[in-house]
Amino acid sequence: MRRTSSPQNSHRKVPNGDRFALVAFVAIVTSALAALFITLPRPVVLPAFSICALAAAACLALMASLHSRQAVRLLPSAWNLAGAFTLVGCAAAILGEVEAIVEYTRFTPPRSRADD
Amino acid sequence: MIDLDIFSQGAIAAFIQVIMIDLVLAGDNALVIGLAAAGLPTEQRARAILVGIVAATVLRIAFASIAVELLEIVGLLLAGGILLLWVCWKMWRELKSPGHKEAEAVPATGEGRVRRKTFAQAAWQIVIADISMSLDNVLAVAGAARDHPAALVFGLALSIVLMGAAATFIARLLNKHRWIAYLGLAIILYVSLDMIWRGALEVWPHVSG
Repeated sequence: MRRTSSPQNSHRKVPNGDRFALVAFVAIVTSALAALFITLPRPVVLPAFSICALAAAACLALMASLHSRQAVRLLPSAWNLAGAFTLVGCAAAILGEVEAIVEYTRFTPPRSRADD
Repeated sequence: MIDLDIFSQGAIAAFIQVIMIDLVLAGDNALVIGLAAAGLPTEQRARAILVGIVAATVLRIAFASIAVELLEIVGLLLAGGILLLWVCWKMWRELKSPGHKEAEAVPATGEGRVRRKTFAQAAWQIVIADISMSLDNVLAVAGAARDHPAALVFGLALSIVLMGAAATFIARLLNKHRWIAYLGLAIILYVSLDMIWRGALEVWPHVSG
């Protein structure tokens, strides 16, 4: 008799390698976010946090979309995590100050000798 | 003077500034579009996100072309904040509605879900939120890239791509875990209260004097 695969069974079939890669990626991104928080000057922490989280979300979405249709069904966590990182990135962006970025990335033209 | 050399140090600095500002300022639009589109069926969700992105783009271009005139209107920020607060109220009511609770009780397997929100409701919420938030965004980007039109165009294109992708991811997540919508709503509420506060500070000298 043929067995039909239930959603619970299909979840068990997620390759361990994929699961490990996902967990490792999340661990790396979380460490990177923590490092940003510690090392960067306060005014640019949130914008940098936001860019890092949005980049992580993009990577996760790319990872999920590169899998076949079947694998995407087996690995829904990648899309969920991409959504969660996007939400974190947007929240950090909203709470951050635009003025701080403008100040931090301001370009000051070199003074010519004629100015002196 | 307009700098046409896109590889000059000034132009590169403007590009970096615009990328950073756009990343920061597209976040609130993406969040509102994602929140509004989350309750819709998959095919309507994509259409609602598209409506949101097109509205935000058109509004940004329109506001950018009259940025100087807009700056002279007192109380515009306050009005925008109140408008966004109203959108928050509508979203809060949707989340608390019995239809929404029924929808949560049914397993998220797709077609069997109870859906109360219509496409028109979602599109209306998105457009109103876009109107109130695009003005703030345009003024910041226009200030950073006024001498570098290439950076301005690049920034606009970047924010469109970012809004589309971010709103899709957020809507997908909220469709599965609706409780996270409360978190998103709290962030949008913060944005609206911040706009009201800044708007009130701007209006106050005109009212008291």
